[in-house]
Amino acid sequence: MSCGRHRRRSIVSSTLNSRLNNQHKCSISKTKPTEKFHQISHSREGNHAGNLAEQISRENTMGFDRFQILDDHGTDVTPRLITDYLRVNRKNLREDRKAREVENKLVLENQEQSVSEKSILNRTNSTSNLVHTAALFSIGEKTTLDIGTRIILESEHLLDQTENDRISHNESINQAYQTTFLPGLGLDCIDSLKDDVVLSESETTFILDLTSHIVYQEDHDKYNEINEKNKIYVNLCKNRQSNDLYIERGMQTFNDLPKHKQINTDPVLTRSQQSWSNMWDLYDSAVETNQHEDHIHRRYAIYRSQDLYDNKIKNNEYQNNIVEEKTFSSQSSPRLFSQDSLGKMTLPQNNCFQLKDSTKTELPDIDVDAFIMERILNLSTYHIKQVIYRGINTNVTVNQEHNRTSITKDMNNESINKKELSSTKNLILSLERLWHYSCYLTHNRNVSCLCWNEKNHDLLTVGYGKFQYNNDKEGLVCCWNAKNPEFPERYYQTDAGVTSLSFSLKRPNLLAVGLFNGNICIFDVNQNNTSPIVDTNENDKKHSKPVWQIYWNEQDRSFEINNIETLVSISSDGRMTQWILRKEFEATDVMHFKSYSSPQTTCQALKKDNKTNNNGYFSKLVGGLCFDVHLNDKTIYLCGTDEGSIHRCSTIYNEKYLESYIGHTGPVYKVHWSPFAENIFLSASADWTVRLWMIGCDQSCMIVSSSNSKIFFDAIWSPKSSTMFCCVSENTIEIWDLSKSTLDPICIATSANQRTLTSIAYATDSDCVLVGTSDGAVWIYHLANLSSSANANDLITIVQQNLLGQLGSREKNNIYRETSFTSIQSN
Amino acid sequence: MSSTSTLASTQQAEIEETIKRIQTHKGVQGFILTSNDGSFVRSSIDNSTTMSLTSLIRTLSDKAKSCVRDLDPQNDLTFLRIRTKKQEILVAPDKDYLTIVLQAHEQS
Repeated sequence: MSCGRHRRRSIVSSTLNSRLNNQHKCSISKTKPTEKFHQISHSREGNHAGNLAEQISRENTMGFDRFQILDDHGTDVTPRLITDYLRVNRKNLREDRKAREVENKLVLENQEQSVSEKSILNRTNSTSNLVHTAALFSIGEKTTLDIGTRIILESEHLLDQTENDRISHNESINQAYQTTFLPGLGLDCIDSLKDDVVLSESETTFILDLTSHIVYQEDHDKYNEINEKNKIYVNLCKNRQSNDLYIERGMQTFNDLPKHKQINTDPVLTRSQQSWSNMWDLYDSAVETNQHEDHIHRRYAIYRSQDLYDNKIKNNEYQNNIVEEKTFSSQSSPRLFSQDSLGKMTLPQNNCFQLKDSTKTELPDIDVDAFIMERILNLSTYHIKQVIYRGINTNVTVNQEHNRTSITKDMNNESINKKELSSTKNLILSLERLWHYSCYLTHNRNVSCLCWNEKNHDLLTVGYGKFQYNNDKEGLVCCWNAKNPEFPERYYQTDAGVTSLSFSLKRPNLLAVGLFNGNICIFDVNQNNTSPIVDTNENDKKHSKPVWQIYWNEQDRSFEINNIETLVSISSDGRMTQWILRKEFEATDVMHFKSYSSPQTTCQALKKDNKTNNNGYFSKLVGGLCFDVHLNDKTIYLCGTDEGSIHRCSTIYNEKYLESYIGHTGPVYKVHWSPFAENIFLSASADWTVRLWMIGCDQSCMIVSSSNSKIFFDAIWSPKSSTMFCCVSENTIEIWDLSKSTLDPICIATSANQRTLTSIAYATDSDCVLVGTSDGAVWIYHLANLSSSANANDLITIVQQNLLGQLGSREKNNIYRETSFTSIQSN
Repeated sequence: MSSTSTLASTQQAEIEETIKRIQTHKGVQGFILTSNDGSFVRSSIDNSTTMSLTSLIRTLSDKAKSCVRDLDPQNDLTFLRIRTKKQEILVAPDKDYLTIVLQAHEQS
């Protein structure tokens, strides 16, 4: 309060002086009656005191407003400001150097004396006033002075200074003096303003802290306690109204005048943006936060540095899915949607005006999409055929398509009748051509073998290789899919013609390829490599002649935990070798095909000559052309040689054959165990016959040949019916059903252009037969109207009957025993 | 890295081949390959049709994708087939690109 007053201190000295000199109670406009009273009261005291009073009063009437407290006797017991005493003290010192006794001396004086002495003596320049002021207050007692008081004191001090000067110079105080304001500094001594002044916030002192308590409701003790307290307080408030203990008092604060202040800022740019959050958006964000940050950054970095279209990050699940053709979608979900925005940030290299420039642009990595697109396209085109192939709707036949299929020209009467009877249900077995697998790659190549994948029933591998001797061109292996008949999904070039193929059972992505030069390669169809992962080129035990058949055999070794799958191959160099795939190929010879010594063959003569020599050295090795492993007993296998003999051998006993079957007069191209009857097998040979054999009887039980047939390249039992088999001779497909007729095939289909048909296979999932031709196409024929399948016994009875017809009675008993044995086993 | 670049180039060649085969397939009337920002890389039909087709199909494909993923966020749209009276529109959406093929109906 007083600081404000002091600020407005004006030049009032002269007028006041005049008043004071008068010393009477005339009305002084500015001063208040109380002050006068004050003056008078002081003047009652002694001269000395009066002098003092003068001084005091003079000071006091500098615009002070004070109230006065008088006790009963009229003495003035107004509490004085500290400033008064100090002033008093100083005046005393200055004026009464001798008289140190002041009536109104306070205890403070003594303490202050030394201090004030110091202060006087240490008076140097104006700047040191601050020090003095500060020193004045470093009293032993704790006096907390507010800023206002400090200012007063300092200003008083200055006033004293000026007064002293004045007094020293002259007595008249006519000079106007003003005080300068000094901000209140801390009580710490500051030597000069050269020191660093640090302004900091002082500690916050809480004068009143009524924190609220939060208590859990279950905590009964505290809860009740606080409840009680609350109730007491409420009661208190209620009782407060008319209680004498409580006084309500209002206060007023000064309202400063408001002032408008205007500022200017840069305009704040706003842009509205909206988005909605979908389920997948939330999911993606959740996935994104789980991923590593640097991983994400790496992705971004790659996008920026490389060409936008050259997307390396994209997962190549396409290649992994050659065997399992689903799940293209599951891989794409962890891709971040935010990368789309990144794509937008980079400038597109092409705009629509550069359409004609398309040859220059790099293609984006859309292999997956292109792949799917192609498949779907093909599905649309081949829709009906696919339906037939899958056996979905048996009422749909090929004939229902207009101008789409070309039914083979020289079919039997049966098929011609079928055209007329297309509305009625056909009971005759017929072959309907669905589609063919061929493309520019396979042009003019001879199909040598067909192989289905066990795991993916749509995947068909076809091997191509020319068979003319001295014309060993390079070979090709194509993996076709039923969904895309236009182009193979994989193709591998090999350096020699492909003669045999086989998919591994354990690892269905491994494809073993036997070549015309005796080499065996293994390809991994998951990857798109053009080179095989392993081959036997460097192996010293490799075959020197074409590998005619290979087979993945799962050997049951009791001393090893896992069944190792081994590769068995047969070749024209007379060896049948088993390969174990470890780091490289390791080979063990399973069998050497020695020529069969029988009285009829000419080899006998040779043997007689070489009696003296050891048997092994000079025996001619006969080339093996085909083999087939027994269904149930994996150690027993059949092999056909190119001298016409078929041998049954065992892997355990590789010295001699278990049994030999002589009958064919030409090389045996295929042997196949019947999938139904265990001990019966068929063989197809170049001597224009297909023969059926039974174990135990070394003569063929049935000879099958028809007028159409020439060299039989391939024959296969039907997997559905025990008495049916298909064989392919030069340019006809023949389907035989022994239960219907043993003299003629029930169905014949001829190739349109008199192409040689070289191989045949059954489709795994459908009633279709695949036939390979010599110009590189693989035709799919659908067996329509397949009659009910016969079971094993039918076959056996047929075989029996045939045998009986051929042989004498003694052997008949043998046969009966054998056949009964067979039937027991097969049941 | 030369190996990756050769891999890329073989991939490029394969993709190029596939696209060629698609374009020469039976019944295919048009083939468009566009990127996400609306510019197209390949198109075998005229500009204006391409532009309109692209924008419309893109919105539809996005909606379809949103629908599929809303049902199950781990699922994703792989292919979209729109069968119209006159033709069939095959749409293969990708993360960055969109492939559209127009195929005429089988004669029936």
